Amino acid sequence: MKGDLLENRIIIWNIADSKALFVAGYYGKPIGMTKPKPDEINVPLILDLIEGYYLLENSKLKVYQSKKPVTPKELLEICRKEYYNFDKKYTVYKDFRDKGYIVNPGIKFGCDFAVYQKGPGIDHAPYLLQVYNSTDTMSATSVVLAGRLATTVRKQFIWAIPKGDKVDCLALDWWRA
Amino acid sequence: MSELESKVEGVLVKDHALVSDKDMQHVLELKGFGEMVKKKFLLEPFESLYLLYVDRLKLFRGKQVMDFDSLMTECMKADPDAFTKFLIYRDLRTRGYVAKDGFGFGSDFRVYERGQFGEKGAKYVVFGMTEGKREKIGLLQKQIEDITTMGKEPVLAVIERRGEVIYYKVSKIQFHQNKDQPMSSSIES
Repeated sequence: MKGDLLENRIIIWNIADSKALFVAGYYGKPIGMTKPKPDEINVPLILDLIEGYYLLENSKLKVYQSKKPVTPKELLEICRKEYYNFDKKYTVYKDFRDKGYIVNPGIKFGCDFAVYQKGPGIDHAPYLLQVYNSTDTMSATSVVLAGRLATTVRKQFIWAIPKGDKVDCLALDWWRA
Repeated sequence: MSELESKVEGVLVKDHALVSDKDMQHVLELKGFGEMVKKKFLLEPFESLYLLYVDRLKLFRGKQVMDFDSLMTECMKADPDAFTKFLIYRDLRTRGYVAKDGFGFGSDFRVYERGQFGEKGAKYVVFGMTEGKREKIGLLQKQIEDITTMGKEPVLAVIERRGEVIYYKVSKIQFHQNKDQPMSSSIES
């Protein structure tokens, strides 16, 4: 299947492909559908760069820009330009996707990723993930914020720390001492 | 853990309090205060500060009786984090936990499950993080790993600017292959 790169998003025009991608692992967002049900998808799909790159790298998708094919290497360069700390975030995305988790943007919750075991709308709540480099520093405010978010979804908040192509995870939860 | 009924008398030795009365030593030990070190029964700085704070200690420096402020000044000479440690310790005690000095992970304590002091080992290691300061993620990871290796549960205590303490359990977690998702590799290219 093919997608068109427009600025920093990839659009899948073909409705059947759009549906297939969404069904296969909740990739992308059908335009204008806030709570899409797989059977009802009848609009094009928008992938973000991280999903697009993952699908391209796994040969599930071909990406075009102004009708010309974009190679994985070219797309990676675009991702690095458009997406802050892309390499680390991608390492985490890929790790969870490769393990069969559904990884959605976490922006609605105020974090990097929302990770589902079964899928959005099926799971009660996602794991909320924030990506850190091991050389980053952590502030008390980030701890409290993570604790708040964990309480909101009643699940542990995850700090994901890439190390090479592996990812170390710390889980945080409020302790009602 | 209930407070002590009678007042303890102690003598300041550096930043520790020496308690000589045998009966008092016994009572303190039962409640999780102090320790015998080289045949001397000593209270840790945060313990003395706490007992002074709850008015259960009469602490002498020579003939002079010390108040909280002068003891704190003394303790802070030896440990700049003495006040932070006192705040965490006071909070834990008030919540009914017995806490003992930790292993050197910053301001840290071994904390016993309620009612288990004297019967079981400490369940938690509580270590402090002060608002305004930052900690390297790598160091945090190592501390959590070390505490877990000791068989204790790591608890991060955030001390906000005005001294309130908020606790978070932090642990290593591993995500294995997701068994709930058999269809993820079914996309045709």
